[in-house]
Amino acid sequence: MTDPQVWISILEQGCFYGLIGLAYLLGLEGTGFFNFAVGSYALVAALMTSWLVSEHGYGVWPALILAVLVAMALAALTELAVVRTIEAKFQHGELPSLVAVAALLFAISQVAGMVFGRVTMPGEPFYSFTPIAVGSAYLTPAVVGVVGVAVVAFAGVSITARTTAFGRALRAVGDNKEASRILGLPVGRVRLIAFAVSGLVAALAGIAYSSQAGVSWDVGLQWALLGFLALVVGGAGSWFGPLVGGILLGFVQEIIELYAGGQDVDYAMLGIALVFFAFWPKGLTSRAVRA
Amino acid sequence: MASKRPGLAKAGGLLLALCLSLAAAACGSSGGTGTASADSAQTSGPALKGKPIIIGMDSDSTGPASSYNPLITQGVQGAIAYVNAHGGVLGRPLKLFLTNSQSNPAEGPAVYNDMITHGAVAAIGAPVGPIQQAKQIIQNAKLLTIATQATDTSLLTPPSGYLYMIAPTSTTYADAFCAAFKAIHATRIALFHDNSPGVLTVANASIPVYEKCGVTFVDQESAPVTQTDFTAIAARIKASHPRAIYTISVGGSFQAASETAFYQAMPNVQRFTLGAWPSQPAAWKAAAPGSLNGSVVIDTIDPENPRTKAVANMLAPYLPSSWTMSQYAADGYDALMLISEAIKKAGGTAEPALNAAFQTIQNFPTTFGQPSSTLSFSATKNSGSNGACSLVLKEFNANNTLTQDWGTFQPSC
Repeated sequence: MTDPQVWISILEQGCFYGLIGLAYLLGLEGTGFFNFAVGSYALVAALMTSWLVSEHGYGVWPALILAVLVAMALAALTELAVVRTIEAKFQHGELPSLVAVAALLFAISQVAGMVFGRVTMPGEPFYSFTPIAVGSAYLTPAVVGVVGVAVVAFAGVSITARTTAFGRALRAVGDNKEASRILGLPVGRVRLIAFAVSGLVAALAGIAYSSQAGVSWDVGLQWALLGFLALVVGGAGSWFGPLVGGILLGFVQEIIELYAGGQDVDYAMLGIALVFFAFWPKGLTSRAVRA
Repeated sequence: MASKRPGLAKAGGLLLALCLSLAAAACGSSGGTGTASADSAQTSGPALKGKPIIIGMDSDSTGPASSYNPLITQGVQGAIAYVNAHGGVLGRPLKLFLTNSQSNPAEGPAVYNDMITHGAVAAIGAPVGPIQQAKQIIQNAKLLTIATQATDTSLLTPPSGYLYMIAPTSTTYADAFCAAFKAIHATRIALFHDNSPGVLTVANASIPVYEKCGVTFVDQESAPVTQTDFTAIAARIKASHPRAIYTISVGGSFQAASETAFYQAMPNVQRFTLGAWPSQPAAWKAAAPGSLNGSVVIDTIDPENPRTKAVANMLAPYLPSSWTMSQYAADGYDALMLISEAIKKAGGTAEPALNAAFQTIQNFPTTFGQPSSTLSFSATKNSGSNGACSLVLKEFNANNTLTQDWGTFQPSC
C-alpha cells in the first residue's frame, strides 16, 4: 500500500463509480426510483466521442459536446417516453418502470454496438498530455479528467441543490410528487431537468474514464452496477454519498487485488453488496436507499 | 393528465424514431455492407446456374467473441463472393447461411440443427463451445464442419468423424513460446490472463506444457475481462521479479489497460501475448503512447507471406473499403476454400464422399502463417496444421503499431 500508484488508482476508480452513483442520485431525487440506464448514457457518450474522432476526423471537443448532447437527449427521452408513460399507466409500484429502464440499458447497449461497432474504441481525453511522473507514480490524462469531472460535478450539484430554487424544487418533487404538484411546482419540468443533468454527469464520467483504456459496447451494464453499488454503499443522504461509496469500493477493489489477486475482486464486490443490503441499507450517509 | 397524453405519445414517438434511426445507421455501417457486397458480387459475375450450395456458419456477432468473429465472417463472405464471381463450384453458386450462437455452448445444437434444416452441406464454426455441444448432431447429420478457432485437440475426441481444425494447436503455440522464452534466456515468467471461459481453458492447459520446457511461473494473476485498472496486479507481478510477462487474453480494453500498467511498473520486463490482441489495431490506440514498444505477440499473419498479400488483394473488391486482412479473415477464407476444394474433388456435395474427399487434401497452402505453412488432412488427422511455421512472432514499435517480425526468434516447421 505504499505504492502511490495504487492510491491514485483508488481515487480514479472511486471518482468514476461515484459519478455514476451521482447520476443515479439525480434521477432518484427527481423521481424516487433508480434509473439503471445511466450506465448506457455513459457508454454512448464515450463510444460516440471516440467514433466521431477516430472514424470521422472530428476534433475532440466538438465530438465530446455532440456526444454529451446525445446522452442528455437519451436521458430526457427516458423520462418522457418511458418513466412518465409507465408511471401514468401503472399508478402503483415502481417495478414496471424499473423493468423498463433495465430493458432500455440493454437496448441502448446493443444499438450502440450496432452503430459504433463491437470493437474496443480508444478513449479521448479532454486534454492530451504525457503522463506526469509524481515520484514512482504517474498522473495520466484519464486520472486528471475523472477527478476533475468529479470535483466539478459534486460541487456543482451540491451547491445548486442547496442554493437555487431548482434545487429546492428537486428535493420537493422527489419527496412528494403530488404535494409538489398541488403547490404549483413544475413537476414535469423538474424531473426532466434532473434526468438531463443525470445524463450529463454520466456522459462526462464515461468520456473521462474511457480515455484510460478505451471503451467497448458491452461495458454499460458493469458501469451501471458499480455506480449503483457506490450509491448503496455511500447512501443517498448527502450529494457526496456516492463519492464516499465509490472511493470505498475503489479502496476495497485495490486492496483485494493487491493482497489476494484479481480473481477475487468479483467476490469482494458481491460481499460488499450483500453486507450493505442486508445490514446497512441506508448506506454510509443517513437516508434509506431502500424502502 | 389526459391532455398531457398527446405530448407523451409524441415523446414516445421521438424515442422510437431515435432508436430506429440509430439502427438504420447501423444497417448502413460497414458490418452490413460486407454481407451486401458478398450478395451483390454473387450476381455480378458470370451467371451461375444450378442450385446454390449452402454453407452454414456460426459466428458470434453479439456475444463475448463479437470483437473478432465478424472478421472471420468477412473472410468467408469475401471468399464466397470471389468464388461466385469466378464460376462458382462445379458451376453452382455458394450461399452462406449465417447463425449466431453468441458463443453460448447451450445454443450449439440449435444453431447446427438450423444449418442442417436449411440445407447446409458443410459448416464453418467460429466459436468453439457450441461445436463441442453439437458434435453428435454434426456426426449424425454427416455435416463436414471446420472449427476455425479451435486450438485444443480435445475437441477432436469422438464423435468427430466430420469435424476438423485448421488453426495451430495449443501445443504448437506453447512450443513456439517455449522456444521464444529460451531465446531470451527467460525461465522466470509471470502468467497473466483474463477469466473468459476460452482463455481460462487455454491458460490452464498451457501451464504443464510450459513447465515441461523449463519455465517457472513465478506468479499467476487473472482478472475479469471487463476490468480496466491493473495497478495492483502490476504491483503483485513486479514483486515476483519475473524475467518476462506472458499474457493470454481476448484483448480489447483489458489488454490495453494491462499493457499500460505493466509498462509503467516494469518498463524493462519483456512482455509476450497470446490472444486476439494482434488483430485489434483499434484497441492498440487505447494503450498509453509508447507502452506497447517491444511487446511481442504471436500472430498467424505474416505480411511477408506472398499468399497473404495476394488473397488480401483478391478479397478487397468484395469487402468494405475499410476492411484489412487479419488472421481471422485468413481463417475464414481458408476454411471456405478447403470446403470448395473438397466439393470439387468429390464432384458433388453428397456424403460420405465429400468427407472422404476432404480427407485427401494435402499440403494446402494457407493464407496465414509463414510462406511454408500448409494444412493436410486424412482419416486419422483431423487437425490440419503441419507445424509451427503457421505462427509468426511480431513486435510492437514505439508508435504502438505492429509492423515488424521479432528479430530475436521465429518458429519453424
